[in-house]
Amino acid sequence: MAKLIRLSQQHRDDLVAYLDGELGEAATQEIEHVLAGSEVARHEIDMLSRSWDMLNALPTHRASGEFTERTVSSMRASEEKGPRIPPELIYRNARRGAVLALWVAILAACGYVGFAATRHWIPNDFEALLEDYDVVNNLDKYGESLTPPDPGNARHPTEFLEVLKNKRTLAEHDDHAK
Amino acid sequence: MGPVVVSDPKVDVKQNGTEENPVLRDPDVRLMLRAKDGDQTAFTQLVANYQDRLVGVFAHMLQNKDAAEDLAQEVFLRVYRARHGYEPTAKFATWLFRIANNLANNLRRDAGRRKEVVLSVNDSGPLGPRPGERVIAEKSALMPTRQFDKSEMRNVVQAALATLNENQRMAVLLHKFEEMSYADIAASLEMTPSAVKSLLSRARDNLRAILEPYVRQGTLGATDSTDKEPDEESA
Repeated sequence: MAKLIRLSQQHRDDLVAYLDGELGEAATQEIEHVLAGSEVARHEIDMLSRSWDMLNALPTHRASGEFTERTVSSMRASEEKGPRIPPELIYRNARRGAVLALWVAILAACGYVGFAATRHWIPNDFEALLEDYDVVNNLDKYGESLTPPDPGNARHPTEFLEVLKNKRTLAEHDDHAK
Repeated sequence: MGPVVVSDPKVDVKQNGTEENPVLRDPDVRLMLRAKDGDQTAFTQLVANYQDRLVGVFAHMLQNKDAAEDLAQEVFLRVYRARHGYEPTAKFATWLFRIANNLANNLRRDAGRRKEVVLSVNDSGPLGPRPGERVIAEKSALMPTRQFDKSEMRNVVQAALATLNENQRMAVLLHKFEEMSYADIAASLEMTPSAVKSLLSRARDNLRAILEPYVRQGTLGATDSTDKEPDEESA
């Protein structure tokens, strides 16, 4: 029955590698075991080998007599002229470069206009916050000034202003403004 | 077909660190290093060593000897232009055939962009059998009654080779005619050795499927390599 067993793709790959002497020792032993027990494998390896030998029928092509001379001359010519770039390739690449540069310029202009318009027309909440930064920063001092040390002895608003004046809080703010 | 070994008294093996880098034992690598240093004769020697091998592989790939020579020349030009940056990291032949394979791939891509007819793809397309497959079919119709002569057999084998895809064909040519190992083919085709193993297995399966009827006819005797005539036909 062994002769009717179909060969797996792995076995087929190994058969070819076996013929080419490219199998490791263990795989060689395994494939020899398969060959010993399978007529299919023996037929397969025989056909692979004989069809491979048929490639010997292919014609042998040789370079023409002047090939070396022609090649060496073109090498020298290429060295004198530098790398040969066909004009159409230069034109095509230049056109691609110009189109690319144009698109980059258009995108950059659109980006700038968009940024400028956004900055000019759309209000920014953070700007108001920045304007009141000094007040926000000194909020603790204002709270301290408004909170009486003795709850029964509430201060007048003018007293609060005087406290601020004494602490030079407003002067600091004025200095900042200046 | 092997490279001409040129002994170079100027190259001192120890001085060049051959003991550390086995690649430097390759005489063609040493020639290339001399070419890198501006030695024109070394490069001319490399061209002489490899021109037949490159033209042979390209002629089988393209089925056109003139185009094969043009492409081989382009490979040498690229090698020459790249000589200043050359670093010996692999056998020279491996490096050269990697460039050759890349160039052949570029040519195929360009041809594909121009929507030219691709001669050899593995399966028949929607337009029916490709030229290579047609030749085989025509020959098959004649086959049972007689033996093939040498030129007919050559056409059949060429047609069978043309049915392989480009990678399979390149791998077959490098293995059969350049006697490259799987590892060297892998380096040339920028694949892993196990991928090369599968590639060659499928290629040889395809060849076997096509050529088996001819093998059975006992035509193998006509394919002895000693009977070959160089450049009998540039397809």
